[in-house]
Amino acid sequence: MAAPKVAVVGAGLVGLSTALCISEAFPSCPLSVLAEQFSPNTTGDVAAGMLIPHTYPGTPIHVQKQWFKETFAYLFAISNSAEASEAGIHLVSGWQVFKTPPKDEVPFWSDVVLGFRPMSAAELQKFPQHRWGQAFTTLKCDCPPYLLWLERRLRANGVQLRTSKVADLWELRSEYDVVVNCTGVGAQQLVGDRELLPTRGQVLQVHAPWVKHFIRDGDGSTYIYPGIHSVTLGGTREKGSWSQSPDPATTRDIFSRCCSLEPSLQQAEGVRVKVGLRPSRSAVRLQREVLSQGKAKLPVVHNYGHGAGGFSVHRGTAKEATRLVGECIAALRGSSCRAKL
Amino acid sequence: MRVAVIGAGVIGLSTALCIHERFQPLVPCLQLEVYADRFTPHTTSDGAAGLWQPYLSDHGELQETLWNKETFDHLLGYLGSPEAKEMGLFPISGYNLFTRPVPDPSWKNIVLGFRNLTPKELELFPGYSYGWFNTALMLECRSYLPWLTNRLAQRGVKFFHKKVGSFQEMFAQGVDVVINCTGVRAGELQPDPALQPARGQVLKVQAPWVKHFVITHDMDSGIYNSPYVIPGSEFTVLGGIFQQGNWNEENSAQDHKTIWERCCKLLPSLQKAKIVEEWSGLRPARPRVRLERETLRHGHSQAEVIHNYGHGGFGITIHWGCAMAAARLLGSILQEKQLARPPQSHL
Repeated sequence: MAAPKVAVVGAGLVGLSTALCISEAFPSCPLSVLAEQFSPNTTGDVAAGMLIPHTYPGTPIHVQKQWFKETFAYLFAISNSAEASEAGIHLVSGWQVFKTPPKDEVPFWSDVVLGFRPMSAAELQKFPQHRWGQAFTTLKCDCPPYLLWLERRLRANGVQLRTSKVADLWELRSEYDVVVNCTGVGAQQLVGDRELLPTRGQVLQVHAPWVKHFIRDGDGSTYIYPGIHSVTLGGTREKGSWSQSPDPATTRDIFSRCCSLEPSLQQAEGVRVKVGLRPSRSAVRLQREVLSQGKAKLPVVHNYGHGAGGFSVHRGTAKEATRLVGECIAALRGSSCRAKL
Repeated sequence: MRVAVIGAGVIGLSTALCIHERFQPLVPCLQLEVYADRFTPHTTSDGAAGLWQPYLSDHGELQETLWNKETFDHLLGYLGSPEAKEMGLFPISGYNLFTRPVPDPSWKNIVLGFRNLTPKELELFPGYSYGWFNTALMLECRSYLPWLTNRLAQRGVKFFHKKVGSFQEMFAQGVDVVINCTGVRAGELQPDPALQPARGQVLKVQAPWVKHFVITHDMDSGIYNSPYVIPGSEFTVLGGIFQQGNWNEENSAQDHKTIWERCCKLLPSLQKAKIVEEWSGLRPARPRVRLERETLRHGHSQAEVIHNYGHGGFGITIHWGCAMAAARLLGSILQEKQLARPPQSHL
C-alpha cells in the first residue's frame, strides 16, 4: 500500500502545529494543510500567545498538565536557541494579581513555569487594589511570527499548504486517506458540534516598549502581555458572540482597566484593535472518528475546541493527535492487508 | 549666595536638583549654576544601560548601601506616576549568574522579589550553577538627564557649557560654594590617586524579545568583566568590559569581539540581533565614593567645596542618596553662614 495521504484542515495554531508533528512522525506520508485562512488572519494571530493554562472542566487535570509540560519544554528549547526571535518565542516574567483570594493558591501548572512563588508585600504595593499575587516566569509565542515559522518548517518538510474552503470533510475522501480536523471555531458548522461555542475576545496592541513584565488579573478579564514589538492589552470574554468587529466602547474599557494595573500605559502609542473568537468547549475534542457512507470510510482525527488555552497546550495536543493519526494509518494498513486475502 | 555645580552627569544634575528643591524656598538669595564640559548625551552616564544594581559586595561601606536604598526608594515612588516614562524609569527583572554559590548581596532586601534561581532556570545558562532572580529598576539617562535638566531650567538654574580649569577660577568669579561632581576627570581639578578610570565598552543592539537583564559574574576577573545583557526601552545593551587605568575612550575591535561572542554564548537568541551602536566610557572608579566637604583658602577668606565623585559603575544606583548627602553638607555650610536655620529651630 502506498503511504497514506493525510490532510490537515485548518492552518491556525492547532492545524500548523499538528501538521508539523505529523510530518515529523510520518515523513513518508504526503501531507497537505488545507485552510480558508492563514496567518495573519487566524484566531491565534489575535491572541497574545502566553503560556498560562486555561483549565478545561471536561479534561482530567493530569492530562492538561502533561500537554502543558510538553508544550512548555518544546518552546523553552526554541527560546534558548538562535531561532528564538524568528519563531517569536521569548521568556517573560510577571505577576498574576487577585482582588479576592485565588481559588488555586498553587495552580496545577505552577511547577511547570519557572520560579513560581507568592508575591511579597512589597511587590503587591505596586497593585493597591489587589491583595494576593503570584510571580513567575513563562513563555510567550508572538504571532504572526510563530505561525509563519511553523509554515516555513512545514514547507521545508515538503508539506503542501493550500488555500481551500472545505465545506464537508467527506469531500476530501477522493484525495486523502486520513483527515485531521483542526478547524477551531469553524468546527461548529463543519461537523455540527453544538458544544463548540465562540467566546469573543477583543484586544488592543500598543507600543509601550518599556513594559517588560506581564500583569494579569487573576479573574482573567484584564491582562497586559508584552510581546516583541507590541504589548497586548485585554480583554473580554463574550460567550456566544460571533461578532468580529471591534467595539469602541470595549476598547476604552480595556484601556482603562489596563491603565489601572499599569499607569505608564497612559503614555502608550499606536493602538490597534483586534477581535478573535476563542473556540470554546468544555474539553478539547481530541478523538478519532470514522466517517462512512455505505462501505466507504474516511478516518478522521479531531483536534479542536482549545478555547482560551490553545497556546498553552498546542504541542501536547498536536502530539496526541499525531498518535491518533498513527492509529488510523495502522488501521488502514491492517484493513488493506485483510483486503488482499 | 552662589553655588556652582561642576559636572552635568547623573551626579551633577541630581545634586543640583536636590539642592535647589531643598534650599531655594529657605534661602531666596540662593543662586545655583551648573558648569560642565559635556552635557547629555555626551556624559559617562548617558552610555550606561541604566540598571539599578550595586556591586555584589559593599566592602563594609554601609553608608553606600544606605544611599543605594534611598535612591531605589526614591525612584520607586515615581513608578506609576505620569513622570516615569519621561524620566526613562521602569521596572525590570532578571538574572545574576555565578559559577559557584555566593553570599546574598547587601541589596537583597532593597530590590523586589529577591530569590535564588531554581535548577530549571539554571538550565537556561549552561556553565553557571548558582544565581539570583529579582526585580529592580531601569533609569535610562538618555531620558533622565534631560528630565533633570528641564526640572532645573524650570527653576531658573543656569547652565554653562565650559571646562572649569580650577576651583579658584570659580571662587574668583564670586562663587561661594563649589559642588564637585566631575566624575572621572576630578583629578584635573585636584589630584586624587584613589580615582582611576575603569573603562567600559558596550554594544547597543536591537533585540526586543529580550525582556530580562542577565548579568554574569566571574569572581576571579572582577565586576563587569564578565558578559551582561541589559534590555532598555529601545535597545539592548551588551557589555562586560572593566579595564582599570585605561583612559581610552575609543572603541576597541578586540573588546567588540569579546562582548559579542560572550553575550551570544550566554543568550543564543542574540545571534540574530542587529548591532546599531557602540560606545566606550570611563567609570569613575574609587575604593569608596568621595562625598565630603573641603574648606579651601581663597585669598584672605575661605571657600567651600563639596566633593561628590568616584561612583564607579554604580552612579545611577546611588545618585539620589549621594545628592541628599551633598545637600546636607551644603545645609551645614548655609547654617554656618547663618543663611538657613537648623531644622528644629524655634523663633
